Amino acid sequence: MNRPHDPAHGTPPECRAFRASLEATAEAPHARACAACAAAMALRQGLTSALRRAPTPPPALASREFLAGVHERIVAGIEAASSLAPKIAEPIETPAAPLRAALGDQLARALATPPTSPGEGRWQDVRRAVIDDIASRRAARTRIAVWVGLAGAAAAAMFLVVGPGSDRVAVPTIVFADLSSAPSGDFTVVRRGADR
Amino acid sequence: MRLVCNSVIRSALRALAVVAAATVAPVAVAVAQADQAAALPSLQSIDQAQRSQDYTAIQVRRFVTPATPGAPASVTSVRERLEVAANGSAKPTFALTFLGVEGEPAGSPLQLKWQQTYARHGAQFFAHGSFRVRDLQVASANYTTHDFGPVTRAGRTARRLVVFPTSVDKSIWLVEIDDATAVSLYAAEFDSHLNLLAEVEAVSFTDAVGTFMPQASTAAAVTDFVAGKSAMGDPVGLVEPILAATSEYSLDRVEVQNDPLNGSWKMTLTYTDGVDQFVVVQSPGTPDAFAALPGKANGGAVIGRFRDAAMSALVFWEGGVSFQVAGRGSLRRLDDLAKSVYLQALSSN
Repeated sequence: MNRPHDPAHGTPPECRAFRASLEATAEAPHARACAACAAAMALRQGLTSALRRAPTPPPALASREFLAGVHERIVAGIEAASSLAPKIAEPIETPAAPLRAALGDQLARALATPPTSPGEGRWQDVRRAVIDDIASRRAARTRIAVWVGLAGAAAAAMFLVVGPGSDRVAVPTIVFADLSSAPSGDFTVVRRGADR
Repeated sequence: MRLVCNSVIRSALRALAVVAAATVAPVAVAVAQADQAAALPSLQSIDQAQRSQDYTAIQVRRFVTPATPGAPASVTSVRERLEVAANGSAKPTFALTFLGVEGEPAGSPLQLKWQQTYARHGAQFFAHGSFRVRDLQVASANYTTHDFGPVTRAGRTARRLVVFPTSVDKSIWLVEIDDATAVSLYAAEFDSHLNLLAEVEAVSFTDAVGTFMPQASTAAAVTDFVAGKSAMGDPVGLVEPILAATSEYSLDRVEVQNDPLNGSWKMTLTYTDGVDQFVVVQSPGTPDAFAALPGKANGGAVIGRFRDAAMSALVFWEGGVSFQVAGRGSLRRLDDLAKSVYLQALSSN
């Protein structure tokens, strides 16, 4: 027999082990003996079945006025933005009643509440990372320019040292081979006619 | 006193007559010489006649095959009818019709062979086969004319003229120019050793032309090398020659030709110094006939050369293109031109 689950003393270790196990169901022996774990199993089954169903979005979310309002707010937010701290986190004007009806009061309130903006330290980290990135790109460009300059100087040196010599070598020797008869062609016919 | 006065007046009149004779006589001689000079044919009057004079001529064209170590020289005389309708340009509308080989029975195989040759190459016989002023300005710079007096040709009065090149390695022309029309009635071509190379002689001449069918040609004239290359479908390996050795010649015409039998293309670039001509012919997609020669097989460059007194022909292959540089035999500078074109072809492939 398992010790009864007393919330004031926290969850007993055997209950935590049971709930973490893959075999944890409402029909398991531990759940039959422990009312708290039986309730947790029943809640889990209910949530699981609830999550398996895709919630039906309220028709108001698909309305053109709602989407136009979202668009206008984003545009206005971008136009008014003066710092990296985004205003996208501000609460949007939702059609409260249908959303609440579909998701429940607490969940709807949670969705409508702006998330906590990142702290000043995080934005400083981002700013530092951006500056470091720009600095590293500038350094890479400088390195490329140095290498291109070196390669150009090397090519010029190669041309000056090797080029004239290779030109002399590259000119092929053309020899003439005397032919015993005139080759065919229009000019030959003009000069010789049909006799050739 | 009266006698003295009469004597003085007579003396004065005599003096005036002598002065007048001394003044007028040179002027009269100069005018007479000017009249004679105006009647003499010139490159300018020949060029003008080519642009403006219609005519019909029956003429004999003589093809001379120079002697070789194994064969004596031979001449074939072909009778032809030339009909010309001037169009204002140096290239008039014309038709050249084969009439027969002199001394050969009608219907013989030789007659048929020459008839076919005329059907295929008649346009080239007219354009390249004899004396013409092809560019008056450069012809005047490269040739001088010398009058050799009056003659009678084809029952018409004419003047004999020698057209002499300023460079010794070109043909010398003896032409007889009709007095009335300035059309050439006779043209003979000689090399620098005065060997006869070709001849065209009119046997009858009429200064008018009836309706005729212009000479057919499968070659299409284009404006320049780039246009010709484009018309051929931009094949690789063609070369626009750089004329260093023959700088007094300039491009006269560009023609492209498609062989209907095998679909192969040919571009013919014709250059002229005003009278003389040579051609550079390029045919892409032609197998290299010299590939098996020892010099070529070892990676060398070989130009095949045929030369006699009448013609020079230099042939070579590079980059799948066959090249032929051909001109009159005395123009030995064509060797340098062929080498130059070969080097251009090597550098572009």
